[in-house]
Amino acid sequence: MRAVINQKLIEMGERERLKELLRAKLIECGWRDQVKALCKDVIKEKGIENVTVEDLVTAVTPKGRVLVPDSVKRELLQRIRAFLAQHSA
Amino acid sequence: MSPAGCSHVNGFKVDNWKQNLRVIYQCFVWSGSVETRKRKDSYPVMDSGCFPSQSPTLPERVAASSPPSLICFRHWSCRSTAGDAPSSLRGAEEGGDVELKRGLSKNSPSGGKAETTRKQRNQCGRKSENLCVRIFRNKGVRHLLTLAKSCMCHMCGAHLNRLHSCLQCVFFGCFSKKHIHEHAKNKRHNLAIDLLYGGIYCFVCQDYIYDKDMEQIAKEEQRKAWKLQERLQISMKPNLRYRALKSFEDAFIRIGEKYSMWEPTKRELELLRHNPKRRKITANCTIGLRGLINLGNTCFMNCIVQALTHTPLLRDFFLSDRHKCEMQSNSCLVCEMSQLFQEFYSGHRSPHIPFRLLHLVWTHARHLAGYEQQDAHEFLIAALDVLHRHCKGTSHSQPIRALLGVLQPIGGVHAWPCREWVNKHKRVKSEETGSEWEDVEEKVESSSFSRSSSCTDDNGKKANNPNHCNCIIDQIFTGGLQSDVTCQACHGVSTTIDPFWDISLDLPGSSTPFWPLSPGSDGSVMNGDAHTHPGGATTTLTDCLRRFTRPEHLGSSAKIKCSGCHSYQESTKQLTMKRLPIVACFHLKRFEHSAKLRRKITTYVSFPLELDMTPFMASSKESRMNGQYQTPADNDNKYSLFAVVNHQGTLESGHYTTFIRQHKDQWFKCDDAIITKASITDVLDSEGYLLFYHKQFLEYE
Repeated sequence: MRAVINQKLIEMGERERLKELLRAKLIECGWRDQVKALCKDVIKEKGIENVTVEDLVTAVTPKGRVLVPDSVKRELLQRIRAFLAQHSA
Repeated sequence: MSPAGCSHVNGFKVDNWKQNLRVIYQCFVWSGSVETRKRKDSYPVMDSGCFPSQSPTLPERVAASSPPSLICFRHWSCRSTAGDAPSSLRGAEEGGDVELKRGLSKNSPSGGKAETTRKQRNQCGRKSENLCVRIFRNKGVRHLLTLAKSCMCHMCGAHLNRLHSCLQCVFFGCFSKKHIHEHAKNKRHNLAIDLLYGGIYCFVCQDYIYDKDMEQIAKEEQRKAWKLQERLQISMKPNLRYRALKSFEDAFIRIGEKYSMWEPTKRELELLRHNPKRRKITANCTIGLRGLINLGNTCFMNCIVQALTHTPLLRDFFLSDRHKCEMQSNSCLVCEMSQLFQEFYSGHRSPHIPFRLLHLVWTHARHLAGYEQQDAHEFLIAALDVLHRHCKGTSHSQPIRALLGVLQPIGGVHAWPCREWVNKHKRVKSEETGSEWEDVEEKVESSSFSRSSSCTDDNGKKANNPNHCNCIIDQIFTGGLQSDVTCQACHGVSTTIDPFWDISLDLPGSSTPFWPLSPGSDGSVMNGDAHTHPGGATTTLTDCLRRFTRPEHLGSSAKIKCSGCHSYQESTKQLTMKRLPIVACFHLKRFEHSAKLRRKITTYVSFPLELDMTPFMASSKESRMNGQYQTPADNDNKYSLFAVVNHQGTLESGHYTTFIRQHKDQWFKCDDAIITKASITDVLDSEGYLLFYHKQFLEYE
């Protein structure tokens, strides 16, 4: 099911647009700065020479997901729903 | 591990690797978002590794657009030996090599596809480079098709999970489920690319690596994709023929120029090398603080300059050299401001002598010329006005002289220190007829919002839309003031919105009554605040704002013609903020000069460090009227104090000083050439004449 939706989204170019919208919203609401701060903490802990992207991903991802504001989630969902409603095959 | 690349890329960087890498970026990472031609038949769902090359629409579609091209996945691997085991069209995976065939000609029958593909494959071996090049020319459909169809993990079919593509063969695998790791181990292909962000992962180093050459390619491709996206978005609309696509119009996001961090150009690197001295901004440094020499009663100018040079957005604008001058002459005030900022932030500690600024002010605002004492508020408005005009250059706007220069003191008497800055153009007219300077009735809008109209409009029409000019001055200082006139008979409301640069507030102790606030009531205040007789408690800035935004009976002598009842009726008028500027300037009207008396009102008005403008917004008033619960103030209306201009003395002679905020919590008093440290109490206890507030949170527009 997801694969079909994703396919549709990419084909219609909607995926790119949604990505950009999400990016903008997350910056606006300060989420990016919060996650940046979390990453900085991890780097300080592990030391800049030893830390890998994986470390950051495993440490920060769960916290980052929680920090996304509901309003942003709602808006994106709305858009996807609207898109699907318009293009239901 | 070096912060840059790793040595393991060397195995990859052979033959035509750059081109192949570009193809990957273009097709899978940053593909332009183009609308494919919608067909009734949808694409069959793929199972992993299969390509629906049997889709009946494919050859037709391809034939429709020319020239045809072939994407051979094998080219990515730079190994275009004809001897490689061919995969059948049905896409059975074989060592991860799959081919996607595009129709070669209109007549290619689907039955004979297998035949043609093999031929193509052999040809690929020889023409590898040409074909790769052809892909680039056919943007759009191909990319999206490729993307839609093949962006899934070859092992589990997932399209999320941080999909990576192997750089050395055609394999997509999830990162989260370690499918790409398995592939790397089995095939000993050490490099993979993250399809979401374009990062290159090295399995030996077990981390993302940043190879200079590859980063360069990544950046270029990203920029190209953005440009393409922009172009296509703009060209999209005329092509929207399908009903379904019409709904897309409002879904379009104007992305604009992609944000990329600053990278120095060659020239800038040169400059940096030749000027090795660096200044470090510490928490206590005094860069930005500089005294100003008084050139003869020019403290009115100095105090405003101090406030402006410490307006964060304005400072950022000028220090990043954003002003591109279009004026022919040397008399651009914006250029001079730019110079001034350079002087202030140069690190020099000696006081600056603003003689050039003064000269320009005299040239462009004749009414302020001369060595008599002037009003700081008036200078602020005049300065903002000239800056606003000069921001667009003189090519469009009328010569400033015609609009400002005619203003001469009448009868040799300066109505100093405070002149109501009413509609300038009305004043000009009265100049022509030689009538006396008219004092403005306090009842009429008394704040200086009736500034001259936009940079390009020179008819003196009041701009109704505060957003029509986009110079930095308008962006920072212009707000919208909503005026609602309600007819008492039919209760119809007529609304106008006027731009403003500052809010002039009446004070208690002036000849116009301050209390009661709302008509008909007796000292009762809006918003249910407990507030006693004015004689008892201190007046606050919010009290003044409440008074400013109160509904006001216009009285039986000032009946307005109501378009609803078509007759003259009594009405009430109310001012509220429609749109708040980024920097809000409050002018406390301490200088009274009505026909009866001229004096300075020294009533102390307490003002806060943090101000919430929500109760004074037009939207708040509407929700109050609809009985809706006034939602707790959102961050959009929160302001912080950053500069205070004070006047000491009397109407006839006095002195201006400014408190400015440095580094968030340090305050300094600027008294012409003398800068001293001040405490927050000093600031808040001061009398206050001009109060500058800056929005705490900036909105994304």
